Amino acid sequence: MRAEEDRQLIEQARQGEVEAFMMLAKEYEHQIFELTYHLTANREDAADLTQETFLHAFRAIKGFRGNSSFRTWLHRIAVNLSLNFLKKRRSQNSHFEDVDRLEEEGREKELETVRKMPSPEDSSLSQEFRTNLEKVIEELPPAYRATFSLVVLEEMSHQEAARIMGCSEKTVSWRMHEIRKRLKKKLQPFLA
Amino acid sequence: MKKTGLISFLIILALCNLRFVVYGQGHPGGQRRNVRENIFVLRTLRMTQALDLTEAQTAVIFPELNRAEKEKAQLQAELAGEIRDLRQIINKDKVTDKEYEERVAKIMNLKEKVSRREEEFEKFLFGQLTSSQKAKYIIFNLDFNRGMIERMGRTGMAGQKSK
Amino acid sequence: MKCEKYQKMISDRLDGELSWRKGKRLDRHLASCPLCRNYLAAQKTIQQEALRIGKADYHQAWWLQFEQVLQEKLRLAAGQPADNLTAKENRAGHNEEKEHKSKSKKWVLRPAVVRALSLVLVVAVAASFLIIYTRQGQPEELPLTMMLSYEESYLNLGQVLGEDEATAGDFINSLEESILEETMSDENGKVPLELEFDLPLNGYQEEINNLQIEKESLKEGL
Repeated sequence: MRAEEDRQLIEQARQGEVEAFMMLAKEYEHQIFELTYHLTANREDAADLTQETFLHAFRAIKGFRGNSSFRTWLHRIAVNLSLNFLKKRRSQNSHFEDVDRLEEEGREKELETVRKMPSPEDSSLSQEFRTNLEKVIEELPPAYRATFSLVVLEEMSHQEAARIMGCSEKTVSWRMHEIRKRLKKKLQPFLA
Repeated sequence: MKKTGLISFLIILALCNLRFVVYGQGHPGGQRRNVRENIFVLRTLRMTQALDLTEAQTAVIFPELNRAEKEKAQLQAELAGEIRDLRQIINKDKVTDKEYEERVAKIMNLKEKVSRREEEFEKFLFGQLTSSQKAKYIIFNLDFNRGMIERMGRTGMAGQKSK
Repeated sequence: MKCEKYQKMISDRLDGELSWRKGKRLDRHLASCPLCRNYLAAQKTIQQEALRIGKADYHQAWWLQFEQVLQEKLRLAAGQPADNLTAKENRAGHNEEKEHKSKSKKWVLRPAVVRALSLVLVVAVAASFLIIYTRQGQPEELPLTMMLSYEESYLNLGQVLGEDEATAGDFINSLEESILEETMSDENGKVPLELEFDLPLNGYQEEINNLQIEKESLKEGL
């Protein structure tokens, strides 16, 4: 049903119909935003990347043949743009001593933590665990972070994640194993 | 872009295992491709499309293209180094005429080698192309080079995001 | 079979990717291995907590604005006149990018005159080459000759970029974006082999792992 609706909208979008594409965008904007947010840990960057994803998709939609689902294709664009963005950000930070930006990022992270205030039913231990879990996930190399986001947070199959990441299913499977080992190791004090 | 052309490009690129040793223009060695490499990839992509190369043509052209590129990249890096050195010593008091002459001769020699290698490759290339493809190559070359200069102009402007 | 391999099965099970046959094998092992039972429990906890991680909060009003901005950008991209994207919003968008960029690079605030001087120097150096190097004797043809020769124009380009790391970095970014865009339209959405993002290994040693996977598969006859 979803696929059929998408197909019709895609056809219209290919003719340059902005409204048709907007309807597609509205279907997927939350998912794409979540994904880019998990990868960048920054709302503004996630919003920019989400916009860029849809712009790229709109420009490239004539080349979309439907061999994969629209969702997969869109996620692939989002992941590629996010990884590119993280790469740039990493190289900028490593080349230049930028105290201002690091401070700003630090402030952003603080604000992010404050925004996500624990709900009454969360225990303080659980909140601390989750904060540390987020930190460990953020420290993962970008491609691993992307894999984790797709498989665990977006609940995709290894096959779909592999298509998006442009790697084999075995690679996705192995990455998930390595990620989980690392998470357990880093969070061991909280698990005890 | 034709699917067959793109596939050929990918296969040949992978087979040739295009890895540059030279990191020119002051960029530190590392995992990221440098300016030259990125321009080469983009130029090859666009040339394949502009000339509408067949699979058979790409199979013959790309290996030689890669070879020529490696040699020219090396020469350009050396040339950039010589120019950098020249810029540093220019107008300094202790530099003799002899040293100037030597450095200029070195630079001209390198430049000559680059031009010769470029001509060699273009001669080879033209041997593989049809008449209309040759004509398309001239225009493609002109447009691409102009496009690079314009792109540099755009990215050189402070505070603007380049696209 | 070592616990490491069962722990990988646990990972696959949590992702819903474990086959029935392997699942049976894993269950048999778990019955007799407290270490792996503990590992499974820990991973289940981590998984549950991960799923509760910050869904980014967004107000409906924020999304409405987001969609409005996106729609205007799409209209511009489609060549239609933008309705609501005012010059102010455009400027605000540019200023935001400008501010973002200037905050991220302290040193990018070089005087424009330094860049202009570099460009003048490059042109002077290039012109002097071509005057001495008398293959083409007609100065008025020089610009076109430079444009026709990829290596000539590259030499000029390289000189300017070599002087200014900021511009060089931006230039590379711009090239990578173009490469990405132009290969993205491949019907399979594949990124070419050599253009895939290099993964920082950081101890994960992916290639070695993949080889190990291959070896294991061969051993177990899978």
